[in-house]
Amino acid sequence: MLVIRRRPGESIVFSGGIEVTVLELTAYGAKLGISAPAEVTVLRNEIHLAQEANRQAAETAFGERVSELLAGFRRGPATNTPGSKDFAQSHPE
Amino acid sequence: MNDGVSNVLSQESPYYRFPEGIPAFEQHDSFRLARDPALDPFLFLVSRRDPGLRFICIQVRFLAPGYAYMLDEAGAALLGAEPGRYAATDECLGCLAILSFPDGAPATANLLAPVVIHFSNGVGLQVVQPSGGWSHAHPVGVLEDAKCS
Repeated sequence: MLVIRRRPGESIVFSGGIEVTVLELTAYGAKLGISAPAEVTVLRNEIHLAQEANRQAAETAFGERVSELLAGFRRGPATNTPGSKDFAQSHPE
Repeated sequence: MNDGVSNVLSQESPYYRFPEGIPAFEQHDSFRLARDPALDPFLFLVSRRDPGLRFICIQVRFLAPGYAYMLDEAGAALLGAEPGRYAATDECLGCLAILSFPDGAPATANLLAPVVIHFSNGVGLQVVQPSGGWSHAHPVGVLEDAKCS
């Protein structure tokens, strides 16, 4: 990983017209300003991870792995915990 | 489809409104939770717009008993709830983890971004937490092994 020390007001530049500027440093974190072409997607990393996880989940929501995991759960103590029925049917739209 | 879960899709169940969709599927703003007793404790989050889009979920409290998440002001406004820290066992806000089944690897649960459903108003939101806490790919098998030891 490339590590660069920057102070508030200083920036780094990526190819493609992307510039990241350190605006403010506080005890709670760094405030960054990002300039990029409109076609460039800029996301917080956790949003990116959630997107990738959701895509993978949607693609793998079928198949025998589900049954395998189900069998594993049923061997464990959690499966006997009631509540799924209530959870799924509690509140109509 | 012969994967043991297809019959659940025909069941009637209420729809929940997701004002922002969920990450990567923002256009899907209504989901229902389907359940098949034969497949407990799994639940199936099924899109109204495209029933072919579904997610296998489980209540987070079954995976991580001490789990809690933060609901910031923006998320709270969407859900119609108060901002703050909520336990997965909260009675008003249901907390689900979406499961993935990657090839050649253990099943994982997304504990970075739980799906939260406000029971009283039927609104749902995938609440993405700041990085550095729970993983988006928490290995479910490892957790089960730990519980059984």
